[in-house]
Amino acid sequence: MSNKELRTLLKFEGISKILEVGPATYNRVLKEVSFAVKKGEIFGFVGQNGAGKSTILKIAMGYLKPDSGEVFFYEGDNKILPKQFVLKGRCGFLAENFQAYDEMTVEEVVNFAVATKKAATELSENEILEVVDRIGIRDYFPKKMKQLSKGMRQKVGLTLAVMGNPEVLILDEPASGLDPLHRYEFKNLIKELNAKGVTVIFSSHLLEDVRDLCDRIAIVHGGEIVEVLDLSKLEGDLEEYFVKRIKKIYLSKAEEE
Amino acid sequence: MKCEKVRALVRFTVKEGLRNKLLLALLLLSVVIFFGAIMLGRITVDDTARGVFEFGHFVIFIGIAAISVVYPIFNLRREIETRVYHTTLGLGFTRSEFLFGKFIGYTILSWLIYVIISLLFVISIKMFGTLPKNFFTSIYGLFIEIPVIVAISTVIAALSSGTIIAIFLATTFVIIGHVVGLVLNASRIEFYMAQWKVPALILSFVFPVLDYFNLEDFVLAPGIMPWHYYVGLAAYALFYVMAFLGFGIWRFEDKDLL
Repeated sequence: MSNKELRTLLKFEGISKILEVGPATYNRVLKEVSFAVKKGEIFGFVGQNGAGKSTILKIAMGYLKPDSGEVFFYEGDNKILPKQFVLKGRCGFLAENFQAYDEMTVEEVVNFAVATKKAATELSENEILEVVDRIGIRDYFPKKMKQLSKGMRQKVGLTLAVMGNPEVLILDEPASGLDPLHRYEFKNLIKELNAKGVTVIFSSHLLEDVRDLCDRIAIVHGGEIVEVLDLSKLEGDLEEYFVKRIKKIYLSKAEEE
Repeated sequence: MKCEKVRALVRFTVKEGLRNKLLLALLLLSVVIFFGAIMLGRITVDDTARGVFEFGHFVIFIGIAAISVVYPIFNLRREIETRVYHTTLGLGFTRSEFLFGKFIGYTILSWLIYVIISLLFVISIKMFGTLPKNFFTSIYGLFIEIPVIVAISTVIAALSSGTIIAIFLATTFVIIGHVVGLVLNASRIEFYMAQWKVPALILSFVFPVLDYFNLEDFVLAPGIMPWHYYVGLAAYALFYVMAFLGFGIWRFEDKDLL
């Protein structure tokens, strides 16, 4: 993180969230979550299934409203709400298991995104379309979305997220299920975008990718951030560290009980 | 609300709809039932042209109402349940632009289907007689009713928790909207219906009286419908469309998008 800016871009302060998981059944999915993402860094969330990683990302996008606490992006010294930040076209998002618009061709989906981004930003069509060739999805243009493999779909999803030069990319499990070639390409793209100043926030189960890409990570467990870790200071294997950390939590909980 | 973004979403929704197998199946089913009804009207009513008109008109109403309820709900609920709307919103749409664009797209699709079936209707009537003088008045009624039904369905789909419950609620709205009008009319004429007048009046403030859009009776009437009635009907529809969409957007803005 040596040549990266240290200004805070996104801040969660004491965010809690309760979700209805069934008829009259509620689950506290986030408990007093606080962290800050700095401009220009790659920040990862790791944790088990159901730990609350996706919920954090959805709150950052303004899709979910926290029950308590504050979340905001910084625009200079001003705080702005996630919804407003996203609307200015400054945030790209890739949902987990991106699957969309089955009957449409890739070209139609891309044209739709271009028309929208053109209205949301001041970029020209050509500037927005640059990313199509960079990610290499032009060959898929005549194909329908439902005909694409998972890797191809993720590439299209990533293209939509990256279109319009967003300042922040929020990616939910972007590399899960990708073959090694697509994963390699994905990692390169993230590194390239980050080198251009794009802040990347993502969740992943793939600790190898997290180790390769992230400057810092937050370990999420049971709706809480148990640790924010600077990976440049971590000696040894991340997977080993993660497993030890989670085991430690389980042990301390067992002792408490 | 940015027009360019809404326009892009409308175009996309219409294109998607035109390739949707469910919509195509509903259209084919409506056409088949329509021709069945035409044949039935021809056989069972002495005045062939009148039989064809009445049966055809009724079936078209049922078909279009069903399409205007089912397609928006299936499409929007699918977008919600498969999290596609996260992608759409992630492109930079406000939730109001999203809901409004979807509503217009679904309305155009229902109108397109209505135009197709209405053309078949015109051809069928011409085959068995002459087109009634006020034929297009009845066509206009349902044309104006479609956005109201689509607005109800779109809003319910966006706010409800499941497809089946949304279809049930939207259908109930449409049925009550028609029944209230029928009860109000009947309570003026039929003595035994008078007891329902007050509840029907109360309901007519909450629900749009969709039976106002049923202009079938004008078709065989000797005079023509005054122009201000057309305008009034359009204003009435617009009021309820705005009311439903306004409420839907207000609630959708605050909704957690899981």
